[in-house]
Amino acid sequence: MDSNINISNKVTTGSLLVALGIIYGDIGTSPLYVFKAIIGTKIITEQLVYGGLSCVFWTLVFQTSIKYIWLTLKAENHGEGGIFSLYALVKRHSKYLSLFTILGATTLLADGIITPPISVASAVEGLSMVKGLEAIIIPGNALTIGIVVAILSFLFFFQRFGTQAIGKLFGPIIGIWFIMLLVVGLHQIGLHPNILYALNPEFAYRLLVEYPNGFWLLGAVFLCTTGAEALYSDLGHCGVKNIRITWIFVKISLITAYLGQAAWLMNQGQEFLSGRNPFFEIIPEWFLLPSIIIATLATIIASQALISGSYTLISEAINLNFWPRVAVRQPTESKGQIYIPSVNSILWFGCVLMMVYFKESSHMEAAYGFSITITMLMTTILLSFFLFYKLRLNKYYILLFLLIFGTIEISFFIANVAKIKERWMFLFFELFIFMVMYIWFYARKINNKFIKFVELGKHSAHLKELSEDDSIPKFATHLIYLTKANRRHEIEEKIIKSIFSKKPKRADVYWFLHINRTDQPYGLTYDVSELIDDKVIKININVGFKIQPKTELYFKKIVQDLVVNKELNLHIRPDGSSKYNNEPDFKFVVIEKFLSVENEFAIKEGLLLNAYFYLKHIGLRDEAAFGLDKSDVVIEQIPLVYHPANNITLERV
Amino acid sequence: MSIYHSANKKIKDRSFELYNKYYSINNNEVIIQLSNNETIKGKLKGYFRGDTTINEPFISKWHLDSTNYLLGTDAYGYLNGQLINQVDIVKITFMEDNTTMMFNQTL
Repeated sequence: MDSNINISNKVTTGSLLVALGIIYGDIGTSPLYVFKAIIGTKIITEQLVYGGLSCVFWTLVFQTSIKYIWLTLKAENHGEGGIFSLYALVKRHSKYLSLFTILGATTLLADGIITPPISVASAVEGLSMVKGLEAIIIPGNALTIGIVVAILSFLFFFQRFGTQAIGKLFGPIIGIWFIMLLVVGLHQIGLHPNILYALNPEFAYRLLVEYPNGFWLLGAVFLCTTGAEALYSDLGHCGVKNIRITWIFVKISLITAYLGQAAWLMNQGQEFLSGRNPFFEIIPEWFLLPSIIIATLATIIASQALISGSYTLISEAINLNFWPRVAVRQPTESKGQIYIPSVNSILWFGCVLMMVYFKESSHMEAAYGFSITITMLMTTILLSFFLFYKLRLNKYYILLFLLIFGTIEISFFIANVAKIKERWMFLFFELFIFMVMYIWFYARKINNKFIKFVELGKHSAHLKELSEDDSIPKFATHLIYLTKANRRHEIEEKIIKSIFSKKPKRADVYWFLHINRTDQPYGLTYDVSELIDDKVIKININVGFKIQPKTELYFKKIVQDLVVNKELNLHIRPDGSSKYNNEPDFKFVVIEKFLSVENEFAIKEGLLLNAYFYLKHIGLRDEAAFGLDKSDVVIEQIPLVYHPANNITLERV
Repeated sequence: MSIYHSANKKIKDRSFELYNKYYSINNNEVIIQLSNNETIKGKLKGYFRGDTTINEPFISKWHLDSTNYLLGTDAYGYLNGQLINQVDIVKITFMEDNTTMMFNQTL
């Protein structure tokens, strides 16, 4: 997998285009709605336009260039980025980091259901400016909503087939989009070069301090950097160098587009925006329709990147035990491309609901951005741990980092809090995701506390005795248990109980298989310990947290390796069961736990555990999650008793 | 050196040391002295892992039993012996070599 990292770190025209297509769709389509949101229904004045532009410019400098491009991209976990990769790097340094990670991931997913509708709606609404379509395409009317819903539904429906075939077009299309931004922006700057003075930070300061309610405009300004988190989340697909190099081009294009819109605003001659979108206003009329087509394609690509990012996020969450196991599919042969049907359905439903509820992009602008400020704050906290513990930066630099970015992001957060009233329904969605992650993570920890381990060595002799006891019918040639015990000689007591239960499970070879999810994204290694030669064998398989485990496949491959290396003799003890077919059979035993009725809990613990077992019940079954073939699996259910009721008065009468 | 926290005290975690020592000896009988001055004799039949990410010891609880049941449970599945918190262990004497290990040493 290291080779994969090297490939993504190589800089070629192709890799730069891939980076453009995957990373910059979200941040790149922001010019469609940022200035429209800043101006809103206010009187167009120099203070507002210059101040707004200055705020956008310095936000891109601090929040995107310095925080994400320069600092956050340093926090790569073997080439991978994103909040879970960052968590995996620093989790041992504080017990609270899991909570920050849950909050960050929740809010990242939550804003994911508004990014596709706001982006696609902004582009489609541009059709209202095309001659002949003014009366048909009206932002908020049924036809416009229908077109957006149709585009989004089409996009979500085709996720199951993967994007390998059309993915190659993403880079060139986004490339054309940025060139378009550059050209139309430069044209306006050429007409009104004075707009360049607006880059002076003094204008930003004056807007925030002197303009009436200027501080609250940060809620609109923030929309210019909402896609910055994607720079980090998609690090693994593109590599640091490609992201940093393409950012130079992207940033110039974005700044030019914002300058162009500001220049037009200062010279358009009207007091109010009156529903016009400055982005489409700076495009020559003859190029309007092609530009809308390019914009729509760019927003679809941005949405696609976000949808793929959501799959990746949930997949990492599953592997780091933050999310219940759900079906994860690989729609194409393309490495790393996954499709999660349940997430696809939730996102599709959420996006359509957003479109139907808000009806037009300008209404969504008032609700967009709140969640992502929380994600960015959480990334800042996790990153400060990385800078301090991993890069070993001086604590004063860390304090400076926290002071600067804490101030910026808390300011954005406060300015965005006003949006809560427009987005109250999001809170339910966020609460749902947060609770699922919280319950799964913490209840699992409680669960793990009650797993009793025993020394496997103490039972080896009994296992050997059982294996050779011909008076007991053979259960399987190879009996394999999945264990959570990562040490060579330990095993869960429930496994030993399962083997020596009333009907003992006699087998020729007992295997104990431990899947160890590593803190590294990729990597697939194993080690073998034979406690009794060819009789009791423990295997640890180390699987990176980005890999979907295929336990049965790995296991059979390991057995094959051991036989080829003559470390294992696949002998079969002849008995009645092998008379007609001496082919070895592999039987996996999966032990499922359920909460025993004997339990008595404290309220919080009881709620957590009951919710955990309910999620487990509706989630993917263990054998499917571990990639086991149904025909080779035996499911056993064992009760879990944490706190048995002990105040029973039972009298015989 | 791993440490854990108990009642606002930083305590050196020796549970992993105990684990290694205990499972490398043949005579598994030990005498455990607890913080309430109780002394118990028996064998450690199993253990429960602690969550080291929240400053718990590597092994949080031990199952001590003096019977010869294989798994420390009787014919009805009830636990024999008792569960002992790692933080409550003051001293362990190993019958095999008559050595002792001291615990709960604050830092």
